[in-house]
Amino acid sequence: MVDSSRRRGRREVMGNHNRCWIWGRNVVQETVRAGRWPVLELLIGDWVDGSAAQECARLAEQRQVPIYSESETELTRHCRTAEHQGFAARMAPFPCLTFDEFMKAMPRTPAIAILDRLQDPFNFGAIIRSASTLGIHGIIIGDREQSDINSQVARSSVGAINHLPIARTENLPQVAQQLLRFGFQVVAASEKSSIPLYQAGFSGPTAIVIGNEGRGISPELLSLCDLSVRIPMTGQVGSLNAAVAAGILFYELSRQRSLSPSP
Amino acid sequence: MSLVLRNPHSVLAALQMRPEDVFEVRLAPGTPSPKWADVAELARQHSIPIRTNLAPVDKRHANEGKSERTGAAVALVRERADRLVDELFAVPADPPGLWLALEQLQDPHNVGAIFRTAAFFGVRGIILTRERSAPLTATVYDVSSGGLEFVPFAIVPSLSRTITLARDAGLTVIGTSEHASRELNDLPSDRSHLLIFGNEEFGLRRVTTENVDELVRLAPRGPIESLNVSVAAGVCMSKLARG
Repeated sequence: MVDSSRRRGRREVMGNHNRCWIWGRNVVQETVRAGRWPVLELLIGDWVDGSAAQECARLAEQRQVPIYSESETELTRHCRTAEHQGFAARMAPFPCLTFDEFMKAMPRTPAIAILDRLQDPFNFGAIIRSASTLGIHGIIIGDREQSDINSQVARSSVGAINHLPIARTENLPQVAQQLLRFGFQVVAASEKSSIPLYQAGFSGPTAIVIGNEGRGISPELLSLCDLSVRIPMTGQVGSLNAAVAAGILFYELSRQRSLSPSP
Repeated sequence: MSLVLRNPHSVLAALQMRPEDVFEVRLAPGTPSPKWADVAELARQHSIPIRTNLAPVDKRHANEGKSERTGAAVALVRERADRLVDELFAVPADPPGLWLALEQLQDPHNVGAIFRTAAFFGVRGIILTRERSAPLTATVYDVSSGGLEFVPFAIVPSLSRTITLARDAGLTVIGTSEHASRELNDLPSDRSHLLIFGNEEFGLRRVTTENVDELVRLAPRGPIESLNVSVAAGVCMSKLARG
């Protein structure tokens, strides 16, 4: 079932595409199963047996994706980690939606998140995971200073990357303007705001803007937001990690919406 | 043992809370970033040696604590001493407060992020299990962005005694589990709680789930089962911490 006659010399042709590899049984299985993110080739450890390997191989075959059986050493070399559990896949660039496609995928009262130059892949992945769990319908990212959708993001998202609509646009301020025209409330999360999160209402169409880890939301985008909220600090010091802050905002939105179902 | 810290925020917090434990600050050649300039200024006030014009220490690990803000500058800082779990609960629980216990958390990013959030929300103490848990390395300090300096912590072999002590101190002991039927939102916020989070993959140990007063979940709605543990902990703290 698994073709072991893998060609040599492929790496030279493809160059160093390490960041386009994803690995780990669950991440690879879910990605292949979902079929959204195109797989260029699939490597399965030659010691791996069981239903996950069989399902991956069957689906890859259906989609005419080359499958190779590899030794543990080879897999570790490709993934640059030993944590692959015998599953690795080389990926095409992630197929982000355009803004128009994204809006077509939204329900009647959307709740979305806009990420402004999020740079840490752990944060990015965790935000995708939280969004998916806490009733956010999709995420819009920009194309500058933004973490790519790579293996680390896929892993931190624990598969949510395969289900949540994600759009990538050149110009986030322009997107914010369009959303405002569509009747969205565009809400900035900012430590400098004087309005506590719990005074905001999220029952209408809402976009939550999360800013860069160090510098926050860009001034141009911030000036377009029609509301800015802060998470009240009850301790003496500090700040919140971007993914934690996003989770707290999403939870509040999800809580409010579950109390009063949207019309 | 001394730690090599790379996040200026974690160094600033250490300088503020326990300057006697900061041995040395090493700056990269050239003008330091504004935060490292603050570090240098505070270090100077405490007569802590500042060295410049050095190659980065231990380049092999330069990318390890890949969170926000890393650079070539570092500081050598003594590990912060842990406390006895009894001491953590000796603080009167009036006004009501929040304590956390982390059972076999393995990802240093999660542990660091939880300390950072705990400092922000004024959590009274964190109890960590010793076995199969991420040790408090420099990565944890740096990810916590100073949070580790402000929240007292204890390290215990298992949580059974911690749970008993917490109950004796008047706390309600809550386990978090995605299988729980009760929701976080239903918990009264005018009480003191010990909130327990389990391993990233396996959750709480069975003996712990049997020992808590109540299990709660965070009302999952999407196709993904649960939240990242540091995000889940953040949501819980935002709901239950009163500083």
